[in-house]
Amino acid sequence: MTSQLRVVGLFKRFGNVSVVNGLDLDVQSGEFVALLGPSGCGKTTTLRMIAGLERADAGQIEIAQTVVAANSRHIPAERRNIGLVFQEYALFPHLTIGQNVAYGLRRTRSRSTTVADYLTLVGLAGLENRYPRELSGGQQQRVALARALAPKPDILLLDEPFSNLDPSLRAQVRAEVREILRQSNCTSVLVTHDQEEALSMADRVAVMFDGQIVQCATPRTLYEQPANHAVASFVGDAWFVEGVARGKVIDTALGQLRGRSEQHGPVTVLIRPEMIVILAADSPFGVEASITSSRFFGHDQLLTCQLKDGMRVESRIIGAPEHTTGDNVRLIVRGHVLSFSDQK
Amino acid sequence: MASHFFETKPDAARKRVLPPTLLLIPALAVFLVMSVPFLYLGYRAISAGNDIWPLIFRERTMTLLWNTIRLAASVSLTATLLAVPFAWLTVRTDLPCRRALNVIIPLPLVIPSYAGAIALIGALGPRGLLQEKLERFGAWFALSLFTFPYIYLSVRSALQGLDPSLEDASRSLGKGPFHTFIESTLPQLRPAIGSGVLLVALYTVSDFGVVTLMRYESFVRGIYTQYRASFDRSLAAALGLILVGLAITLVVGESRIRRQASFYRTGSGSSRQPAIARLGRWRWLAFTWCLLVSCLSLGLPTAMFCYWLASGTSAGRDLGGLPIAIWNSLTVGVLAAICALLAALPIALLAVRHRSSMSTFLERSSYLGFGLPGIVIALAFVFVGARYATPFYQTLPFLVLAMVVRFLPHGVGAATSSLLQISPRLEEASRTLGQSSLATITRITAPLARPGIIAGAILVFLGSMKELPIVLLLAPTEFNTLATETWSATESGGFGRAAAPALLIILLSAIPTLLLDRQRKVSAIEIPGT
Repeated sequence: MTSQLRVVGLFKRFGNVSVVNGLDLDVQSGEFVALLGPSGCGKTTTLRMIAGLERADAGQIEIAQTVVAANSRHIPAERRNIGLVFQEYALFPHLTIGQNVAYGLRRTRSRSTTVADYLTLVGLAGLENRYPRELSGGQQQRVALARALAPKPDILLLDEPFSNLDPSLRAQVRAEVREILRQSNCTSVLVTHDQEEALSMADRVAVMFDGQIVQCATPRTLYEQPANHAVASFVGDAWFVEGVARGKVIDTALGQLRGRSEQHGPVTVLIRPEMIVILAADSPFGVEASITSSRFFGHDQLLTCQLKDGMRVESRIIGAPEHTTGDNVRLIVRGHVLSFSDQK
Repeated sequence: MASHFFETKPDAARKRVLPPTLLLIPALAVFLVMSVPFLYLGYRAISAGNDIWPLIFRERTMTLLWNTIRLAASVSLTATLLAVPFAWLTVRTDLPCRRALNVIIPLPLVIPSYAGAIALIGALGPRGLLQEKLERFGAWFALSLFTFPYIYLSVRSALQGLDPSLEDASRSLGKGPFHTFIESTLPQLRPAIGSGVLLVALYTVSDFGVVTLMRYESFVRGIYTQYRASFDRSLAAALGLILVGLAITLVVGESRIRRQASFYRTGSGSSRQPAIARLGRWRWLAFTWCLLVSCLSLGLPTAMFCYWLASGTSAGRDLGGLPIAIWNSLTVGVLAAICALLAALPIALLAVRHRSSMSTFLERSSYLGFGLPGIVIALAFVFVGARYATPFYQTLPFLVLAMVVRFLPHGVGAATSSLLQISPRLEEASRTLGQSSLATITRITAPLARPGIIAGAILVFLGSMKELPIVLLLAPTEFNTLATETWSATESGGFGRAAAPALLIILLSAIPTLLLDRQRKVSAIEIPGT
């Protein structure tokens, strides 16, 4: 495997605000990496620097083993051979769909075939002569994707491409886009603030806070073994419980839990709602608690449980609820837990 | 959501980077051509020496200045009182024939105000009962009648863009329709009224034709008399500078008001239609009022010219010079439109896409021409032309150049606003698809900006068709345009002779005006809020 994108020590300031602070990122050929972070963490700026639309203050960017930005060197966007899908799609309103897709292609005889091929790939075959305004949001987005893919870029960059879509449409379009990218075997970087989107689409997720990448890992590792509290809370619902570790056993208010690794001394344990199992009040296992409130989502629900000492945790229940607000129950924690040492 | 915070930041960062030379050089060239005549005007006024100051500050100058300010204020007030109710009636009520009135009310703009004044005098004037009244109130009456559409158009589009939910909110908080209008709607219209009033006040301050015809002692007339009367033109130059000061004060004052009021501005408005007020028994009264004003401002001049034309032609008046005048007017108008747009584009591109202190300065200074009365521009060019550009003085290119300076703001305004509608993302998309910045401009920016740019060209064309003082002072000898043909009728008696050229101006202006309306509709479809 060769690395298709390599970013080393990237910096960017706007006036007095430091937006990107020594960012490192490595994307392998054919890989799909999501850059995940809260609003204003610098992820869009990072993407724009990779694209060449923004000049880096310091650091080096390599695309397909070619240095495109380093020190004073800055290759402009048009000579980087990248594809970029914008949040607002940015389809040219005065050009037809076919002309939009053909825009980045050389004037060769095979051009119209290529256009047709890519429109077929995104499931819009035969719409060459329509104008962007005649298409739905989802269709416009697929045109934007076809337009970016058609010139066979070394790397495809996607800037929050799903945020303008109707929520009901989003999951479906994500799956479609993922499939299209898999077929075209294109190296891709997706910028998003939506953890669900990042986890469900990417091969690896790079979590970004304050202009730096805090952790870059597969979605599963990221979710189960986040690097710190902030990452843990950002990629999913997280509750933190204090405890004392003795080897692989941790004593907490939720009882004795099994740790993932050997540890000693005071720790903070990460509890995800789906790890909490609710048992009936007369069960011989678990710790006593009462349900103080519940939120219903259809496919699942979140129950807030209060322990005797006042501590609260949430439990995610799939399917029909057996308990309601006010019930006394017992709680156990399923599986191995991740704990962070409290010692400095 | 996430990217919005930083979307404006890259612009701030660009401040340190110099704008691209490809745009900066032509923009600076335009700026130089624009500013040199005025610098020279100032130089002439200053170098005239100390004896000029008593002449400037004598009582007559002050009287003229006061007359001009008084006229501008009364015309602005009258025009506002006419325009705001009209705008509200046609946008927000069940007034009969709203659509037709919407088209008719702004139409007086195609009538040059001097032509309108000729018609007014012809209808009400000589030996008529109203003659005495006309001499006292004529300038105010004519200017109000022919300029109020500026305010009407600006307020109308503001009313149409207003977010109706703000009014709903006011109603839901217990305010009645009247209080809602006064406390919620009117303050939001203030910027629109302000920019409309600015146009009207500038028009009045720089008007030459109407005040001359109505014998109103305004500042512009003072300058013209001074220019014609003496060989030493330094005094005219100095007076011209005072007029520039007055005009700039107006522009600055308006932008202050607008900045304070920008707080009230809302977004593009919602697609929901605002509630239509039912006028009840006032319906036909309001309609009659609208019709009456339109009859005076549009019907009376047209009817008068038609009458003169009919009776004049039968009396065997010569129309032989007209084809040449038409050709000359069209030549000047078309050349000015093309040149103004070519000059405006680099400035607008710099201002929109490469914002820096330099580009902002260039854009702002191009708007100064907006405040420069035609007579001052004409004077400045006369000075420079007679002294340093003798081979060009009183030639067609020189005349066109002066027109470009006068109407450049229309071009820059239209080009800037149409470029602002184009999302920079489109240009970035083109760059990421391998196109250079020049290719991006020709393949993406230019085609998208075209409707707005054509609209700007039409505005310049319309302006130069009507422009009088610049043509009077700078046209080559024996170079007659429709404007000079109309005007010469007033100097040689027989107003009837003005009929044919005036009607032709109205006709030739009405066609592009209607095109302009269509262009707006087309561009509204083609460029959605990308």
